[in-house]
Amino acid sequence: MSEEYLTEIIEDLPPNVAIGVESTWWEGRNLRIDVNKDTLPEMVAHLNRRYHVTLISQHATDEREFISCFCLYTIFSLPRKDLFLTLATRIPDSLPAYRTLTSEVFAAYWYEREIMDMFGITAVGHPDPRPLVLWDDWPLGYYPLRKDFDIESKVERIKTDYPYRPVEGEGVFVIPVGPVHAGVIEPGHFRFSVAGEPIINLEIRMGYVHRGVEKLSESTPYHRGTFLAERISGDNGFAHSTAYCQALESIAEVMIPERAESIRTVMLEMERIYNHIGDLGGIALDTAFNVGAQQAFVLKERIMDLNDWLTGSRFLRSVNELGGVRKDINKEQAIRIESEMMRTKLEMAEWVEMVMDMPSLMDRIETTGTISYDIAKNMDLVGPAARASGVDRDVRRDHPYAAYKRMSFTVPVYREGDILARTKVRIDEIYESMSIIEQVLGSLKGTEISVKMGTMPEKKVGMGLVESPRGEVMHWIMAGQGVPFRHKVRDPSFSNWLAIEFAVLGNIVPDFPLVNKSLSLSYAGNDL
Amino acid sequence: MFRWYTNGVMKKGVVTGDYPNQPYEPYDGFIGMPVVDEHVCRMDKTCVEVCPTGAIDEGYNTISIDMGKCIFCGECSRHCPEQAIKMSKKFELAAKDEEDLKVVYRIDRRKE
Repeated sequence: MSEEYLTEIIEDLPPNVAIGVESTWWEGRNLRIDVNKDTLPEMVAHLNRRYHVTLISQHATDEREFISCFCLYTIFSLPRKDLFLTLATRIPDSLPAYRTLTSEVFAAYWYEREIMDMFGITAVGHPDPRPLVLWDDWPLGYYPLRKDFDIESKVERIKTDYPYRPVEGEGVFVIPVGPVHAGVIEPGHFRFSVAGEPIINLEIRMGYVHRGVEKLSESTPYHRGTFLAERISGDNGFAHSTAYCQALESIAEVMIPERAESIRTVMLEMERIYNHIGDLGGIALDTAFNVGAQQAFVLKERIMDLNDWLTGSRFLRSVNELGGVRKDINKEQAIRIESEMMRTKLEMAEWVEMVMDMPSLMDRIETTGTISYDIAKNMDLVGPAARASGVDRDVRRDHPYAAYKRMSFTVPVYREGDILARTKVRIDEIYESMSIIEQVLGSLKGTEISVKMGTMPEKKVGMGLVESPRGEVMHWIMAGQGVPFRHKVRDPSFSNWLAIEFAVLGNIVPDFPLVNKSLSLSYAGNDL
Repeated sequence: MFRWYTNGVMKKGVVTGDYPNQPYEPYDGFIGMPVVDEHVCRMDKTCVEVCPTGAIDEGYNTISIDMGKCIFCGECSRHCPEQAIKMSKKFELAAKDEEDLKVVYRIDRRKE
């Protein structure tokens, strides 16, 4: 299927784009087209108009030691087909620049800024070429992900001010919030411009928890990378480590045992359940409805306690390993999981019914923080936030991995795009997850839970895509000598953070925490 | 609102435990503080090599584990050929000083 489809895409190219194609290549469900950098924007524009592709990631690699140039990878998912299309573009060292893709695909907005920060490759014509992830006082000319930047080096900081977008006018006030917040949450800076009560502009500034995960991974041996991946974003740890393992397993061409696939699926769904219940409780809490929130947290705690009993870790850490899993699920454990799920499902249903009856809560979440379908599609939002705005996309169904190809489940989609819709998506997904867990536990087969990893040839590329509770997590690895040559992590929050700038417009400042919670964004995952 | 009350405290009762007044007993599979059995350890440096964060250090007749660096992954106990290092159930590991986070075990080398 891949080959015919790739040929079809190539034959369909208009002549002005076709001259830019240098070579094509395919393997499994990955299609790759090497494009000249001068025709890249036209190529992307054509693909977007013709196939309505979804941008999964855009990132660069520093391959100057092999081919004496940088390489820019733009990865798309083709709708309704289990296929990925990678556009690879060589960027010469002498002139590290290319024409921006943001004007064609708005979702590239942050990716291009990140590439400018990390590699010093300029997207010419980018509407907003300010730094994104680097600190304000980071000096010009130091690009951390280039190979000639030593991980141990310390650069001298130069004090500068970050140029925020000015919002001016009579009666317009600016409310700066953060990066240090009240309560134990992560750091992020928010600048609200208000005219009276409604917010007329919001600017977010992230990067305060940038830990250099991608650079660190380039010196972390493969078998230790799972521990690093688990800690990228704590409550999505299992999704991250699964994506990491899948990327390397595809490089080594290893098929993990069916039982390991099933166990990964159970754990992924357990993670989704406790995250979603926690988010529902958080939404109730942010409407100052504390009783409802605490009752949700009781349910969340039960699932986390079950995780603890099952694996020894409340956050399901140290379960994944390359080639499978470390912890088996025995008969007795399966029975207890099933009974806990049944109990939680009943109490959940009761909770939902009671919450949907609360006027004080429904008043706050209906029609608040609306994200339209157009915004969600143009920004390629992921996860429950996208599905609440009518984007019918779920990696579990569209690009199945682990045991999902054998499971039957539905993907809830709502069209309203407000907080209520995002709440409903989460509620429906919890029930689907419970049903998936039941199906998997009922069909546990085999005894083997792990296989030995094969060799990972240098320069081979692997990608792992996993639907975490927040949306799709992507790990893209180019193999090196015992360590990744380049490890790109795309957390769902990276795709979704910018949506909050649109979602809050016209709402009042007290609704901001609620909108933020309903989108369930991770600072650590975004900043890496 | 009354439904929340009946459904909450009246139906479920108190769901929280009485920790720290009553001790908390973790589950059997709990991954807590790594503990070395001095009588079994043969000091073959396996744990030092497999530790992803370099928390374990070996001296002439000592093994020290820096709990400030330990990430509780369980690699050391998984790979130890003698099963001399185990992840215990101990979880109350707060210390006032960074140095107090280092746990030193004296190994009896005579058994060789």
